[in-house]
Amino acid sequence: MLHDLQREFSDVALTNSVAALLPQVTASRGSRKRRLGVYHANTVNSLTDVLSAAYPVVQRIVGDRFFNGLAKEFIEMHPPRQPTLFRYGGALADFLGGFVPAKDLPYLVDVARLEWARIDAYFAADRTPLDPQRLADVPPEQIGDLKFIVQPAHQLLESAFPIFTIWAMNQPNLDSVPEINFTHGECGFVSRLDNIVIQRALSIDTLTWLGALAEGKSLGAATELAMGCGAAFDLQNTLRQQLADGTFSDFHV
Amino acid sequence: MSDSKLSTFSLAAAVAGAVSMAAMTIPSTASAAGKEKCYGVSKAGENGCANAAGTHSCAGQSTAAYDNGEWKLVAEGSCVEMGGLLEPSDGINEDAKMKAG
Repeated sequence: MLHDLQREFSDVALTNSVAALLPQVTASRGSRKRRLGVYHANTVNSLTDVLSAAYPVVQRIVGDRFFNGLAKEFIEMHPPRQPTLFRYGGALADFLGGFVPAKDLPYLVDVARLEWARIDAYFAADRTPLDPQRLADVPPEQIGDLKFIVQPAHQLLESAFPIFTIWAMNQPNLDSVPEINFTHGECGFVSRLDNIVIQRALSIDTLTWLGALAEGKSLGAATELAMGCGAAFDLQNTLRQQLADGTFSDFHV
Repeated sequence: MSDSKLSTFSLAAAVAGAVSMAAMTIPSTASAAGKEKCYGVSKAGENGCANAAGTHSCAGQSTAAYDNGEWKLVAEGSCVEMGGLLEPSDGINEDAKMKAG
């Protein structure tokens, strides 16, 4: 009985289906349907705010009204599945891929993926970054077999569109937006350092290198793969940058 | 390492170089230890209760959800500034053309 009542109320809150609950509502004034509708409106507004906080760049690209509209449809199709809001909205990128009104903005899907990767990075487990000095103790003949452990927060992204540039161009307080070349893609990573989410675009050889290391390949094997990408892969500088970004938490030989 | 393309020496030298340079730039763990993260709280502090929108029922603000009739299915944000309306085939993006022009 109580379960049914809660289910009916949940239907009202999520989809404004008031038929089942309506006969049980008493109202001294005003329309009962309208009074129930308040719960639906509040639910949709709250969830829209959650999506807005998670996807500020998507919102900025399409504008508030479009965003509110797409949020409404998303919330109907993907109601929350768990009682915490901080993980709500991860399916938005896939949703956008099938959202007809957004088909003129094909890069939107990958921008949404980037924004969700930032949320993932923010909530990923903490690992203290590897102290580079520990590498100094590895005997030179074992360096090639060394395997790094990548931070849980660290994620690689690849897009046919310049998503990192698009993201950067849509931060608040930017006066002017330079022309963006939409014909070339970008890859990069999102991670977290000192509790701050960081992201950088990467060259294809560095992406290959990091991808191989994340898969558990040895430093020697990953470096050979990266050198095979054609460009002149600079191991020293790449490793220095990744150590500074706290990409690795540990290694073993 | 048995592959000839990459000598043990060059690998070790590059790693040693990176380590010596990293010594100057590595973030101290002390700075990270000074901050603490609060799990279960959303990015900008939006959890279910603290949400500004969650106070609507008290403030009596919103009685109707976003009306489909209120919005048009046209993106009107920064995509226009970026010259980013990528119509697949038939559409012509005059704004981007002008910017490129």
